[in-house]
Amino acid sequence: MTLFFIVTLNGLSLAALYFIAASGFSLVFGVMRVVNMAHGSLILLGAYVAFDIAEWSGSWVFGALAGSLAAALAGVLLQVLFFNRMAGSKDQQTLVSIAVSIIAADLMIAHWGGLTYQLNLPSLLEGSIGLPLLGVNYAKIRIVLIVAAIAVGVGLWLLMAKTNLGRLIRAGVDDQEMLHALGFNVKRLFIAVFALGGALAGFAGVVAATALSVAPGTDVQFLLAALIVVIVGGMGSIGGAAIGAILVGLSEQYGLVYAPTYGVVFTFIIMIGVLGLRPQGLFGRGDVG
Amino acid sequence: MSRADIILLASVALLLFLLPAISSEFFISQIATRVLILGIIALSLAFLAQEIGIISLAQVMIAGIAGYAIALMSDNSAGLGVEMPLVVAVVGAILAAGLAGILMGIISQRSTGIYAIMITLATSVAFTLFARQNYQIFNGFDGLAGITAPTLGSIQLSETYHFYFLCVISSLAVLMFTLYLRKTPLGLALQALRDDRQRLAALGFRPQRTVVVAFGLVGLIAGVGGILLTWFNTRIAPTSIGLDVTLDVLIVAIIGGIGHPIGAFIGALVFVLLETFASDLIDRDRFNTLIGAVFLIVILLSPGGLIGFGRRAVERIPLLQTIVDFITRTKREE
Repeated sequence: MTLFFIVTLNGLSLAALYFIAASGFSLVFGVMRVVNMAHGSLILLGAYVAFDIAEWSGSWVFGALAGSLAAALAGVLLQVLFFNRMAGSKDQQTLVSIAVSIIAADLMIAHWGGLTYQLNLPSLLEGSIGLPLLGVNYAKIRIVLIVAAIAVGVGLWLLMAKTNLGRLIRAGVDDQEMLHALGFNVKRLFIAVFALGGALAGFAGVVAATALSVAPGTDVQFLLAALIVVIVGGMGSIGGAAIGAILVGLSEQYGLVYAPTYGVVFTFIIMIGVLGLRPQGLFGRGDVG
Repeated sequence: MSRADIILLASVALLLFLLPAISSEFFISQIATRVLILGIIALSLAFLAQEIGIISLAQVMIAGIAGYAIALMSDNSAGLGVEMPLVVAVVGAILAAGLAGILMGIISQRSTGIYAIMITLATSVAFTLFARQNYQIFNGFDGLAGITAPTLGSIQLSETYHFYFLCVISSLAVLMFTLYLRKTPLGLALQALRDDRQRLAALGFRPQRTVVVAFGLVGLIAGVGGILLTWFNTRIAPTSIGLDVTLDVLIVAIIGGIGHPIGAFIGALVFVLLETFASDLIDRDRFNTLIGAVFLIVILLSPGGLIGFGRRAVERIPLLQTIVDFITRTKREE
């Protein structure tokens, strides 16, 4: 029974990481209908930059800020250089982002090499805490991870529901042309959305580099995770991304422990099942796709 | 097939059959043969994209299924499977790929656009992971090795030139198949599906069933490519059908252009030439940057790929247009 709870907690902390990785991806898709296949590259870039700056400054916080900022900038560049020019064609945007991710992965190997990087924990988060009832110690960082994901989710919800920017974004989701006709600068709004999506990706990279480690291939791993999470949950829905992340995180961990051979395939089967029955995902709206 | 297509096919066939007379053995075995195999697999992606407007990233997986099937029905190093007569093995492997295509079609029949891209990608990654974990059938990470092209009577197909001609004949057959298919009622239904799903349904067709049929048909094409690939490499393993190979095939199809079946082979030619001679242009380790950049430039500048670029060039240069019109005997209104 204790094992089951530990595995569940592991699944939830992995889900937290996936949620942060998927939220930016889902946000960008929800607003702009852009499937940014370079999202994984932004995550890895954020992690690498965070590592460099943390080494240089000796501070995890500076590293985390720099990593998020670098990924946000890269996201803005993607929008300004590419996506902005081909607003009409979704497939073309997807292909461009695939091309960018191939180039980015190769250039990051050229610069950072094939090594595995891990960010040192801030001393506050080191060690473990005793869990009530179970009587076992559990790594603090994993608990903090779950809290951070909840904070990101609530923050995004507050942003979307309560702020002016959120209202504009939601209006943009429903009818871009109308929003433009009302005199709002849709272009600037979209750049802001990409900056936010990129920052979330960078932060996901920082968290991944702290809680686990990053190396070439991490970009694809997290892109696939984000894809599955948002496909299962429904593209563009933050709540859906949360449910999707929990499903994927839990099934991955249960799979690892209880069916080690084929555990890796579980998440894909969940996704294929969901898509077969509900092509728009569990919480997706019927009008997309 | 239109007159232009017949002339095109005939000249391609002539060129391919004469090629061994004017090139080195290295060129035939390392470039021409690989171009044809890659072209066949890319054609299955390009044809589906062109006819029903769906980009499937599962085509390499489907080719791989044919590869595993032929390996399991031949003598292989792992000693798995049952050895079958050649005809049974080849037909069986192609049908296995067709069946895999139908299954992929059933899974993604309701998805279009980016959703179809993602579901086919995820399915193919899942299959690769499964093959890597399964030792009873797929022999896990090592895969199945020692699979050589068969001997027909006195002709040893594994010999460089014989294998090349096998690839030439297969490529021409696949090209004719796709060009013929476009003019059949089924081909027209496929194009109608791409243009307007709802209207096709209103006419009494079942769009989802048409998607499944299309996936099955391109599965057969991918299957041919998969068998040739397995014979060429003499092995099939999860790494032969991994994500990087899937992306390579996507790049090939898009660079060549999906407007005409020949585009897949043009894309494959560019890809293999770059891959083989990239070390003269750029640091060998940075090949992905080069091919990614070429991919990016083609998407940005010419959404129709290289054949779209060629078509526009012909239209812009009156002399070329006149020559093409004369050859194909097209009469244009002034």
